[in-house]
Amino acid sequence: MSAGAAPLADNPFPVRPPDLGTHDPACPGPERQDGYIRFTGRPNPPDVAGGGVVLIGGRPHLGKSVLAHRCLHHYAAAGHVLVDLSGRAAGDIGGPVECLARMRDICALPDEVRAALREVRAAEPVEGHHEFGRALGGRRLVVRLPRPDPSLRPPTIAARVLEYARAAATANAGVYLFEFPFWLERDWGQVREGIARSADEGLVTCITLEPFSDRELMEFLWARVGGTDALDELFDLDPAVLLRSLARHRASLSPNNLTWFHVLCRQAFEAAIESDATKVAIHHYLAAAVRIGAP
Amino acid sequence: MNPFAGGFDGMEPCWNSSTCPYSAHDFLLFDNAPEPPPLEQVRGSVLLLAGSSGHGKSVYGHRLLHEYGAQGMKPFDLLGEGPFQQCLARRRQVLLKLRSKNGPLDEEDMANAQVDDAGWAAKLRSVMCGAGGELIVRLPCIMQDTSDAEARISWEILQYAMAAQRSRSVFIYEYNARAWPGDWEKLRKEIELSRDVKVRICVVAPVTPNELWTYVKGVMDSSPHKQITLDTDVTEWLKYIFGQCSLHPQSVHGLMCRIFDNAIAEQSPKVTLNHLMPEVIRIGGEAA
Repeated sequence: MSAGAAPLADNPFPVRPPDLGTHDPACPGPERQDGYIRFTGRPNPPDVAGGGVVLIGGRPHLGKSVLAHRCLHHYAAAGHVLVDLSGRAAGDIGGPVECLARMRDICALPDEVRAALREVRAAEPVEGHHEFGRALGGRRLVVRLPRPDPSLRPPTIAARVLEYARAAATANAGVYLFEFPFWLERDWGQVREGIARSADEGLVTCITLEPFSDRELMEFLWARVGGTDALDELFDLDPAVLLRSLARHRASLSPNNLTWFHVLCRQAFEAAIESDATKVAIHHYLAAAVRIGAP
Repeated sequence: MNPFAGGFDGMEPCWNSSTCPYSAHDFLLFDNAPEPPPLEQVRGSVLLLAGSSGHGKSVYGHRLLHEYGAQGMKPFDLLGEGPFQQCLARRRQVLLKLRSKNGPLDEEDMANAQVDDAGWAAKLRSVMCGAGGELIVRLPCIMQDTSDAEARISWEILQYAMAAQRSRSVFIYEYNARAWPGDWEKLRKEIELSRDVKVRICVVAPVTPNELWTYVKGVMDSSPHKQITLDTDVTEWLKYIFGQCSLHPQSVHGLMCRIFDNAIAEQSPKVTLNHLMPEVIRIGGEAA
C-alpha cells in the first residue's frame, strides 16, 4: 500500500453488468441507456432498403442481443413499425407463417399490425406476407425474432433464414432480425454457405460478431472507470499487460467477452477492497480468475 | 523438461500390503492429517475420516492400513470396490468381499448376500466374527449426501461399528461430503447420538498455503531440470493465489505443470504472467 493513499472503497463494476439487449415498450434504445459503450470497431445496424433478414451470428456474450436491439430501434426510428418477439423461448416460433400466427397472441402489438394480421388468409409464407404488407398499407415492419431452436442444424437455419427473407421482402420490404448463437465456427460457415447458394442471398445481411479485441477491452475499462486518469488512480498494473495475458482465451471456443470481463474486473476490485489495497493489482486479477473460471 | 511432469495421480488402493509401493514418504507429503490414534484406542471401532475434498483423506486411510497392519492387524482394502451408486448393492458387495477372506465363495454365499438392509447388518456381524483374526478394513468410498434417505449413512456407519466391536476389528470409513462442512456437521451429530458403539472421528485439515508453496518449491528444487525459473512476480502471485483461493494439492500440481508446459512451448527461460493467467482461469471452479 502506498503511503498516505486511502484504501479502495468503491467497486466501479456493479454486481450485474447492464442488460442492453432486452427491449420493453418504454425502452429508449440501448445507445441511450446507462452503460452503453460506443465501440469504434463493432458493427452498426446495416442498411436494408430492400427488406429481408439481418442475420447476426456470434459466440455467446459477444453482443448479438445488443446489436439486434440497436437494429430494432434504428429501423423504428426510420419509420418501421416495431415488433419484439425476442422474449419468447428459443425455438418457440418456427417459420414465417407460424410467426404471423403467433404475433396475434402478443398483447402489446401495435393496433395497425393487429388489424393487418386479421387480413391474412394465405397459409403460404410469401403470399401470407404479401397480404400482410398490403393490409399494412405500405408501412414497413421490423420484427425481432426469438432465438432459434438450438437443436436445429446449420442447413435448416439457412433455409429458415431464407424463408423469412423472402417473406419480409414481400411485406413492404420489412425486416426480420434473426440471431444465431453458435459455438463452432464451422456451423456459422455452413449457415452462410447455405444462404450464399440461394438466388435470394441478397435478401440476407449477415453480420459476424468477433471476440472483443484488446483495444475494445481497453475501451471498456476506460468507459467503466471513467477515463485514463481514473485508470491510473485505480490500477497498480499496466492494463495492456493484463489484456495480453488474457489473449489466449480470445481464440478459444469460449472467448473473452464483456460479461465475463466485467465479472473478472468486479471480482478483482472486490479482492483489492477486501485486502485494503489502495489500487487493484495483477494478483487481485489472478485471484479473481481462479474464483470465476473460464468465460 | 517440466519439473512437474509425471502428474499427481490419486494413490492406488493397497492391493497387497506386502508389495504395496507406497511408504511413509508418500503419506507424509503434507502435515495436515492427524497422527494415527493408538491401535488399542481404535480396536473394535470405525475410524470415520472426513475433510474437504482433495486434501488427503484417501492418503490418510492408506497410511492407517499400513500403520495398523504393521502392528498385527490384517489389512483389507475395499476402497476401489463398487458399485458406487446403490447403497444396498455396495453393502452386499462388502459382505461378499469380507466373506471371501475365509475362502472361495460358493452359490450359497452368493444367495446369502442377497439380503435387505436388516439382513445385511446381521450377516456383516456374523462374517466379521468368523473372519479368523483382527482385520483393518478400508471400505468403499463414494460422494455421499446426508439428505439422501436411501443412503442411511449414519445407520450404515453404526452397523459397521457394531460388527467391528464384536470382532475387535477396525473399519476405515472415508466420508466424502457433497457439501462440506454442512453435511459433515449433520452426520457427526447423528453419529454422536449413539454411545453404544465406538466411532472415532479423524478430520483431515486443508493443506495450508505455506505447505502448498513448500511443496511447489520442493519439486522445483529437487528437479534436475532447472532451465526454467519463475519470474519474481510470479512467485509472489502464486503465494497470493494459494493464500486466497483454497486450492488442493492436485490442483496446484496441475497448475504448475501446465504453466511450465506453456513456458516450454514458448522456449521461455522464465514462467511469466502470460503463462500463468490462462491456467489460473482454467482451474477456476476447482477452488473451494
